Amino acid sequence: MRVARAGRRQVGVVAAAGVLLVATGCVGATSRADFTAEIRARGGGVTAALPAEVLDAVADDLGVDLAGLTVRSVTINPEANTARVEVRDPAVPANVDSYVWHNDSLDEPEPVRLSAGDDLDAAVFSPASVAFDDIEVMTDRALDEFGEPDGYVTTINVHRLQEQVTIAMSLQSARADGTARFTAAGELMSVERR
Amino acid sequence: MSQRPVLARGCVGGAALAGIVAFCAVMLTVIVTIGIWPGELKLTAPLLCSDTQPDAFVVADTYSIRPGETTTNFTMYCMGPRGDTTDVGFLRPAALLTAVHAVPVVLFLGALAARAARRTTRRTPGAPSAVTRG
Repeated sequence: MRVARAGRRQVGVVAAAGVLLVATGCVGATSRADFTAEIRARGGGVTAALPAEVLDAVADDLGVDLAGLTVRSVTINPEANTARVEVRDPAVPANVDSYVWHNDSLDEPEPVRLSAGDDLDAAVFSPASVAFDDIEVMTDRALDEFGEPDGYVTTINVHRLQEQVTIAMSLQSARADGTARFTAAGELMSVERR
Repeated sequence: MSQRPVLARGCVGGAALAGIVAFCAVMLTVIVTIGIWPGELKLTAPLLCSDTQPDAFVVADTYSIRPGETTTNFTMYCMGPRGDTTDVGFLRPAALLTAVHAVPVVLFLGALAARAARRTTRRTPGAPSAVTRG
């Protein structure tokens, strides 16, 4: 009789544990969609630390300092914490290599295929001349001008067009897309809705 | 009598005890952290998140590998006020929690050992047994 009661109690404990597991599973966890929404609600994840870290890592890999680095483009995806830098090879200036930064480290460089008509001298610039330190201020300004309460930055692309180096920020919200353009010094040129 | 066998027995016993404690702590982490309360990983944020990214999130990614089967991965991230994140992973916070979970396991095993020792003391050789069980 006592054995039967003890057995019933054990079954009850196991059943209660099972119910507890099913009912409380995932307490304190966030879904990927909610996590992404939180990043966007905070502006998209743009910080001055990311471009600085990436460019320092690229310069280190090439054995030059930041002033000695010449790039064709810098593209940052702050939400994914990734970046891609197309760098002119200091040893062979006719070559461009692509560096990808993700998971807080730099991948091995990949060669970039250039067209016969590419004028590399007219396309490259020194990243030291770009106001990456002010990228957070630029982001706030761009989002203010964008005027969407749920706006965030999806990508930042720095490239040279003719003589001018431009920082192009792609902006997005639930109801609009836009692009903010800044000079290399961080002065706002335009914010356009697409 | 040589001290060596006693020492060796002590070492083996200590290693076995450490193994039991480690196993129980890992099992406790698996049950609590994966099964019931993944948010427990966030308790390690003061140790694993920097001051610039103080907000910890445990993100659940659920995949369907094949029909009728789903897998959920938990990853801890630290987030800054601008939405910048750092992937901390699962292993590091889980390892820290396992170390913390070892404390109640040690206390529990210690209580069991103390209870067993009390029973042994009560049944000293030569003394009549107080309880006879069939």
